[in-house]
Amino acid sequence: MRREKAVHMQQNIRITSHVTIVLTLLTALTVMLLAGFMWLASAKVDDLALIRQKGYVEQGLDEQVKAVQHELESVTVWNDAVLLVAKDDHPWIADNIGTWMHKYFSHDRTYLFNERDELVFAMRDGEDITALTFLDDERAAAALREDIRAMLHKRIAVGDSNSPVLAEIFAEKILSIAGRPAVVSARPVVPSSDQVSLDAGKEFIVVAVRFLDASAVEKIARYARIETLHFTADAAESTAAIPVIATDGSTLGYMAWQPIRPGLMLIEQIAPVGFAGIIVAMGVVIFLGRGLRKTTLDLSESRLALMRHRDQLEESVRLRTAEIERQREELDRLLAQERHVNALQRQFVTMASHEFRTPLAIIDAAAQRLSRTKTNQTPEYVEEKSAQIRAAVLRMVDLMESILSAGRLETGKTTLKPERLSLAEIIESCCARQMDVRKSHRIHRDLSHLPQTILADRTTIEQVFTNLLSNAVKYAPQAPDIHIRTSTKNGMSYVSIQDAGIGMDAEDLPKLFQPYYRARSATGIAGTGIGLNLVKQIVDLHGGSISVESVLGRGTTFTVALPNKGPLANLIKRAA
Amino acid sequence: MITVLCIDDEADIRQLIVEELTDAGFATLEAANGQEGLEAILSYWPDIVICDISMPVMDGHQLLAEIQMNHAELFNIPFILLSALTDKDNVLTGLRAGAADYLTKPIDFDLLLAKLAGCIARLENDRAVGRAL
Repeated sequence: MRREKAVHMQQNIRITSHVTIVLTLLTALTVMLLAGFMWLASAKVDDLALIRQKGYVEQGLDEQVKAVQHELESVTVWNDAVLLVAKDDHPWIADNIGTWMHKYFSHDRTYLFNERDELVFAMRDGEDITALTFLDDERAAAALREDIRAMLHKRIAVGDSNSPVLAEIFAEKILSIAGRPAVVSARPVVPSSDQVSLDAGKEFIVVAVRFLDASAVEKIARYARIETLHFTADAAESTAAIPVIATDGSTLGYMAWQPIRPGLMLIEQIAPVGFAGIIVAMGVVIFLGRGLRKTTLDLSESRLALMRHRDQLEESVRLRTAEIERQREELDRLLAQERHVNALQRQFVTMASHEFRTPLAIIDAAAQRLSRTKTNQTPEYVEEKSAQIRAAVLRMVDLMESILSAGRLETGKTTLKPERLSLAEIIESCCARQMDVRKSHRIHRDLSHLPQTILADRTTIEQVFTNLLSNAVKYAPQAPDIHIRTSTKNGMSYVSIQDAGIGMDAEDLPKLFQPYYRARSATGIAGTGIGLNLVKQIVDLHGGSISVESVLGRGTTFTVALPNKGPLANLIKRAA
Repeated sequence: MITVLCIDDEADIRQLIVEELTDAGFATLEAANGQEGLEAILSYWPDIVICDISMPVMDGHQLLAEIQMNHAELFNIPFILLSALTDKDNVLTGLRAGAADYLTKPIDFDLLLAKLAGCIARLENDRAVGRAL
């Protein structure tokens, strides 16, 4: 039973552990799912961001390309001033077109050609190079001058007023100069404001160059807000890039940058917090699991304690019930015993009344006879009647004496007065008295094996043998021979009294010495049932013993054993 | 002469009753217990039986029952129960079993003789009727 409970508790704990594990796994799974979602979301955000970044960079590049033309236009609107000054003062043009364009618009190179296509001014990276050699790469830029001339000639030939005005004519190209990507823009510059279309073919032409890998990159970067933007000939795969495509279609290089990843950045920013959160969540789950386990343990313990308590309770109830049952049985037994004793006592009262009435009847009848036969009374007759009366009185006295003795013994008031006495003498006198009363029986006795004297109480010992002898006579009405045999052994004197009377059933023997008990075979024979009980008590008080053998219809033998040296001191004391 | 059987286990009582009855002019028979009594009744057919109850071998009640069951021809012999048992149970048992009367010890001889006289009167009446028939 108890092992089952332990197993039960283990199962509970195991279930609790499983719950904890499942909760932990669920938490972990949730966290992983969230992380995955966040990752996907951030990748998507990053993709969108990259597309937007590319758009900004492209727009920036486009602005830079277009800006050159607009800037050139904003310079060349001063046509008159430029041309006037150009006639008289050459350095001033250089300052205005070259220095200004370099300083304010960051044009890297500027070339001014006159109507005869002679280079009248050139500036390279802020340096006046008019007198210096015209570089080969610069010839590529100068090629735009030819395009402008072609457009101007075409306009003059047509003579159409709808043809573009001089200010609208321009040529622009993206090409490689000295291996660097550059925007080259060319415009005609009219010699006079009031001779816009009169002196066709007399226009000056200005060509401006801006490299896209220098200050332009910074401007694009500012525009697109990408700090890492730079120009590179070969774009690495890891970086974001858009190509810079020349007018002739060839790729000059790439505008490249480290892509900005807001999603990734967000994840990086919240990652520590997220990790901390996960750890806290796991901690909470495990803590709760432990708590649950502890609670389960406590519950299991409580339940076990409860079951133990219940078992103990059941056990104690069972014990108490058994105890009550035992007491009830004891009470029943005592009650039955009490009833039995009561029945025996009632029987005794009836018997005693009968036993007293019988000698009284003899006395009364004898007295009546004496009074009724006054006429022919002989002395012998009177003698006979008085003998009958005396015998009856003696019988009554004996009866009374035995009842009183029984009462005294019962209340413990009997005091033995041990004295040296001859057992043979006492038995002899008892026999004489018995044969005097009952002349029908003969008592054959052999008293020679008894010791000279033993130590015993005379009165009670006489009672013992009187009772036993009168019993032998009483219960053997048809068998007149009674035998008394004696012996001495181990300091004890044995006297057995044998009759050949009615005997008794073996079932009666164990109860024979109980007070008021009478054997069933004694029915109809006068007796009170106290004699044998009295005998046994007296013999016991003397430290002796009495035993009985009997066969129904064949006779009974009582054997009395008395210690020669008298009752033991403690027995005397007890009796006293 | 009327014959009376006296059944009692006490020899003294038996003797005293017999003496009294003899003086009163009855013929008497004696028996020491129920068994002997039954044999005497069957052998001598007494006119009246005086019977004790407490006796060894066969007591008064048993004797009455025996006669009632197995010796119906003896049933008209008057039985006077004479016992030291004075309780009502014994009286009723005896009378129901057919006893003519129940006397208790000690014995009042006048009473006993009166009862016997009553029984004899009835007997003689019965016999007279029987002869007339």
